[in-house]
Parts: sequence; C-alpha cells; structure tokens
Amino acid sequence: MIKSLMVVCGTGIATSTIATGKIKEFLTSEDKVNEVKFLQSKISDEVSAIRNGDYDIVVSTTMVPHEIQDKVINGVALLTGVGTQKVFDQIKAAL
Amino acid sequence: MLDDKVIVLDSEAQNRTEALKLLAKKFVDHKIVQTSFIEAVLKREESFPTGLATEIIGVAIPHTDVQHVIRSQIGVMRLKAPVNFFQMGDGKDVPVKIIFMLALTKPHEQLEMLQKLIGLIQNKKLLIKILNTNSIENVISILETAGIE
Repeated sequence: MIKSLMVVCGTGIATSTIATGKIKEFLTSEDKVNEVKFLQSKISDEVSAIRNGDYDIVVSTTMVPHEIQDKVINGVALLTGVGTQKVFDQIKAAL
Repeated sequence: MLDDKVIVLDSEAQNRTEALKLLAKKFVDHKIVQTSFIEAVLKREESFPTGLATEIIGVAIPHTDVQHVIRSQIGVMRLKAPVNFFQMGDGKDVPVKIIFMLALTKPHEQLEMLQKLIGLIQNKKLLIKILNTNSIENVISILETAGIE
C-alpha cells in the first residue's frame, strides 16, 4: 500500500521543496521511494486536511497550529543539517 | 540565479525589517519581482519566520508567494552587525549575519539549486569565506563553487 507523504512549509515553494528532496534521497537509499506518494503544499491550505488525517505522513518545516502538532514531524533539521537522522527515523517508522 | 548580482556586503541595517526592505527593494529595482513583493516578503517573514541557526552563524532565507515574482533570482546581504530573526519551526531568536533572499517561480525545477543553497548553509568553510571576502565577485564565485548559478 502506497503511503501519502505531505511536506508543508509557509509558502509551499521553498523549504518544503528542499525537505522533499532530502526525504526522496533518503528513501531512495533505503529502496523505499516507490512506497511513497509525495505531496507538497503550504500549511495554511492543509490544517483541516491534516486534522482529518487525510495524509499518512506529514512533515513540516514551519510552525504548525498546536491542535495538529502531534500529527506532524518537525523537518527543520533537514535544513540546518543538525538532527537529520532523527527525522528520517521518524519517517521510516511511519511507513 | 545570480545574473543580477544583487549582493550587499556589510549592510548597516538595524533590524530585520530594514534589512529585508533594503534587499527586496533591490529586487524591485532589477525588475526581478513586482513592487508587491516587498510587503509580501515582510508579512511572510512575520507569519513564517525563515531564520536558521547553523553551526557557526545565523542565516535567513526569506521568500514569498510566486505571484509576486517575475523571474527567479537569489540575492545576498551580509550584515555588519547581526540582526535578530525568528527561527523557522520553533520561533526562537536567531542573530542573522547573512540573508539569502529567494525569488522563486517554479519550485520543482529549482529543487537542485535549493538543495545546493542548503548545502552551502551547512558548509562551515564556505560560510566563513562569505563572511571574510571583500568582493561581490568573490561571493558569486563562492556560490558557484556550491553549485548555485
């Protein structure tokens, strides 16, 4: 079963693109990239969908409303390079 | 991405709003973006901060929605004294020394370039080179070394 992976940021254009690229690289190295359907958007368009559980996995590079925090993996480490593996582990565990 | 050479060294901007306005204004002057980009990038920075604390310095990568952008370009501003930004994701204070402002039109086509920019931000040696150079041409060649062109 293919899982949906939504990557969100403030604009849906810059940091979510970078994070998506990093995750693709990782999943390719794990031979799992075909198990995932990648989606990308801006957080303001996705809050209710995330709340409703429309996506299997959600990664964000921006602050998300408190109510959906427990459904979202914080992806800022993919940008700073500090703590990247922890993010990858969380994604892998959700597959 | 660097054709217009929108690079400012040792700006004396006193705070992030002043710094962002100065750099965004240059984008407008070069007709890289619509005039509306200035307010849009300021507003976006308040709602969705772009400061990133790297290992050695704080950087920021301000940007905004595609409809304000005419063509893709990166601008760089090095500040004489750091100005405070909020960190992406957690909102903590980050004293920022270098701003990489992004004018983006098609994110997917720019994935490789954006990844390289993040590679640069994570590369201590290259960041130190940008901190220490006195020439705009050098900044461009450092960015090109990182694959951003």
